[in-house]
Amino acid sequence: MPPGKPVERKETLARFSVFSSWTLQDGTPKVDLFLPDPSNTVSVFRIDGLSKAQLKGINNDVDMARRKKLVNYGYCQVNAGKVMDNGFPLGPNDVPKHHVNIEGFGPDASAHRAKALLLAQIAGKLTDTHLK
Amino acid sequence: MELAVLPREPHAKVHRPVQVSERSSPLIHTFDADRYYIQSDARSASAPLLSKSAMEKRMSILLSVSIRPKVMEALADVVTERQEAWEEGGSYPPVSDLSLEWACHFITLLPAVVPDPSAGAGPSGEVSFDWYDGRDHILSVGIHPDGTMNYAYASGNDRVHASRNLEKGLPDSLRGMLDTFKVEEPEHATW
Repeated sequence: MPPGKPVERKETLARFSVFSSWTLQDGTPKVDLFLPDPSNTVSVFRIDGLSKAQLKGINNDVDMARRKKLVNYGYCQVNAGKVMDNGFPLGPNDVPKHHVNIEGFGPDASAHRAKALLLAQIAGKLTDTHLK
Repeated sequence: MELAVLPREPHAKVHRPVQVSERSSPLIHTFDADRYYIQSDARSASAPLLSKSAMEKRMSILLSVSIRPKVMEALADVVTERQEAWEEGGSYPPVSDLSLEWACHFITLLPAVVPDPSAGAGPSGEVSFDWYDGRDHILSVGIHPDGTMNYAYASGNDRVHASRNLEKGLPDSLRGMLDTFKVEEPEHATW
């Protein structure tokens, strides 16, 4: 799998939510949003310069892959530099387009939760402006 | 074993028995401790005896509903959303029954002075309970089907994470973390 272009520190990454319980009612990201999947990575997308239509396309792809229907909860933004500063390597595989894996969650479940908590602390609130 | 939940009023005409099964989310969704009491089914005399631990878990489910009804209502919504997603072909597994039972047990162990947590579920179907007091003060607990509890805590520069089994109750370290979220009673003026 060819790697994508390296992620720059200034870039914005988006973590799409597919469950209502993954954010608080005010849009604050919860730890569950950033817990790694069985491959021990968290999927995010580089979104700088993307149009609303392109963001909607990613939103739809994620929803269909994870929920098999459109749930349109939106995404939380996180700065790539902050992610790197907290010890997470970024794997820009560009599959699907714009996709990046956040890696470095460690071997055990309590470490996963601690790392996910770190990401929840540096991520922005849920936004769905691309849907409006 | 099945329990029937019946209206308290002796003259009530409508009896709506609720089946308490291993998939206990319907119970959590509908059980109202203020309106109902539990009456043993007439056949229960011949039902197989539950083990002590199974009985304790069953009691935990009932207790948790009456102790923290809002949390259990929120948890029921989480379970429902995850179950529907799974049945529709989604990629995340539903909340496991055993996680749910341990989660109910966890709720009964929480000190009363600790505010209600936010309920959720992680990617593998484990139940999560989180306390948020701003971005710099967060506690997140994940409860797995085998009773293992993973927790992570951040308060300013302090960061702790650990893993323990709920069979031994809440560890002192976790109680200390929970204490940092407790709501302080306003001090009474002295005359």
